[in-house]
Amino acid sequence: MSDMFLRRRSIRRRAFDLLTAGVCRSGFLFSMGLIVFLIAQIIFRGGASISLEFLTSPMRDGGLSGGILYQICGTMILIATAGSVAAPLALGLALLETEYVKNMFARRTIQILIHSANAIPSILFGLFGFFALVKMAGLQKSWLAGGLVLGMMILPTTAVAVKEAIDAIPSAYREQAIALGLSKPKEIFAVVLPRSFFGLITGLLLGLSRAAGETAPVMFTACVFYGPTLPHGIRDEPILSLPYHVFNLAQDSLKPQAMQNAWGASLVLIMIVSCLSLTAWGLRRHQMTEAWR
Amino acid sequence: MRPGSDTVQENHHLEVEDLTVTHGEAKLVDRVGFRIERGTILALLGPSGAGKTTLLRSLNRLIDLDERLEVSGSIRIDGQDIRDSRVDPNILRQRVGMIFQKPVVFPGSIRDNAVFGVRHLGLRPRFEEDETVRRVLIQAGLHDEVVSRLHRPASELSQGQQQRLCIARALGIEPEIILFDEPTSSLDPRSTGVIEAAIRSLGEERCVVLVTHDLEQARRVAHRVGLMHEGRLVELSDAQEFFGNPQHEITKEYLGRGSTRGV
Repeated sequence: MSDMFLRRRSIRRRAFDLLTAGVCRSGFLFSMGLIVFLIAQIIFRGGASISLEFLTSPMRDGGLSGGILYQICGTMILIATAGSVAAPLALGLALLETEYVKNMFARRTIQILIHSANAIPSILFGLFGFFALVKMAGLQKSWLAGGLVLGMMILPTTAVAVKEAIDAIPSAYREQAIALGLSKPKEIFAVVLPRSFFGLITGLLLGLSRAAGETAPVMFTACVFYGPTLPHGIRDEPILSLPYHVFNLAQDSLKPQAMQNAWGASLVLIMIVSCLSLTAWGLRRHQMTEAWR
Repeated sequence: MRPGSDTVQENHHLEVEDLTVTHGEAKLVDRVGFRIERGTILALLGPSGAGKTTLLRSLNRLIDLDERLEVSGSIRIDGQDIRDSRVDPNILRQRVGMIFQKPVVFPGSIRDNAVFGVRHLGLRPRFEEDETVRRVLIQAGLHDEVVSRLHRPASELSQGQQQRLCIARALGIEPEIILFDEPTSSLDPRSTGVIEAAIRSLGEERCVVLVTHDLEQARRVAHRVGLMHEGRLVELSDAQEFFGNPQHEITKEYLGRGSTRGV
């Protein structure tokens, strides 16, 4: 092979490497730029609305004045309900798939179903919740119906996170437990659950950070624009929520005060979501470094 | 008397007869038979792939976890066939403890690890845990080194200490038979010495089966020594006779190679 040929190949390879690196860097900078721009806009525009009164007083004049106290409370109630529903179901689903279903076809079917459920648009969950919970189960528009729908929506994300955590348990740990005479349920309790705990919390928080910002499912099942304060029962107890509040104020975009308050509510919403995401990120780091200490 | 061990007698013994383990066409263990009494340490030697670990894992039915393997023949503990369908493998494994080649400590403190089996199996009340921890750590030769830091994470221990903690953990459930699968293969000479002392001590009251590649370890520790080759137990005799006057050609060759390699 001649030197010239080798040199040409080397130049082409270097050019290809540079091109690939350039495309990757551009993609990174573009996507990061978009995120930074979006967050900066929300902080810049919403920051002016944030005050103690805005956070601690109820809405007045159809959202043109007052605060978002009950929207924050409603969002928290929905998040807590969704989490309470999704956590045990996700854990059960992940344990079923990893520990008890040995048939590969059945396992694959469960995986396909979970991943398919993850891809269902949130509006369809809303429609399902409306027919199944609001109408058929007779819950009417209520925090419980909304929380159940959001719980179902985040179930796949949470179950996948738990399953990944369980799959990551080294087989030696299980073998040691079995060699000590632990039965399957005891092995799960002693080895699998402690290890999958952080996966469960991480998946749950990631799912909840998505659920917290969802408008479509709660629009059909749980939320109204104004009226309710805190729920006093289960049935027919609609609540307020931040994403639905933003959605409604944005419809009134010709009124500057409505838009100002929409940006303020958006900022509070993004802070709640960021807190959930950052906690999930921190727990994942903890899981990777400390969990087995 | 231990739960599920309704045929336990005072003088425990382990008897293997015509044991064969196959994986498809391949025989991993081929018609192996031996008997050891309580107070006996049996060392199994042999090259890699000879079937030592497979044989060992058959003795506590850990081999059941691999559904591709088929087992025939009998393994009796105090006369009771452990492969009988009425035998609960979990209770069997409480009677037959196992120490693996690579030490694996569970998340949690040294103390948590020492009583891991006892606690999760509910063998003793919580208020007796301190006494159990002390006893098993002494038996494993680890007590003095860790007594002041029992609540520190077990992962902070050295490899040799972790292996001794694994021994302590296994001893917590008071097994009558203990299986060691190359327990010192990744350890320094000092840790190896401490573990060998623990094995000798445990072998005074229990049946111990030790799989090792180390001829000198077998000579130092075992009462009886067997050589496995291609799934078969080609020779089994008292340690002195095994090393001093081997009968089988394969044994002679193995010992010769071992000594020239300085194993």
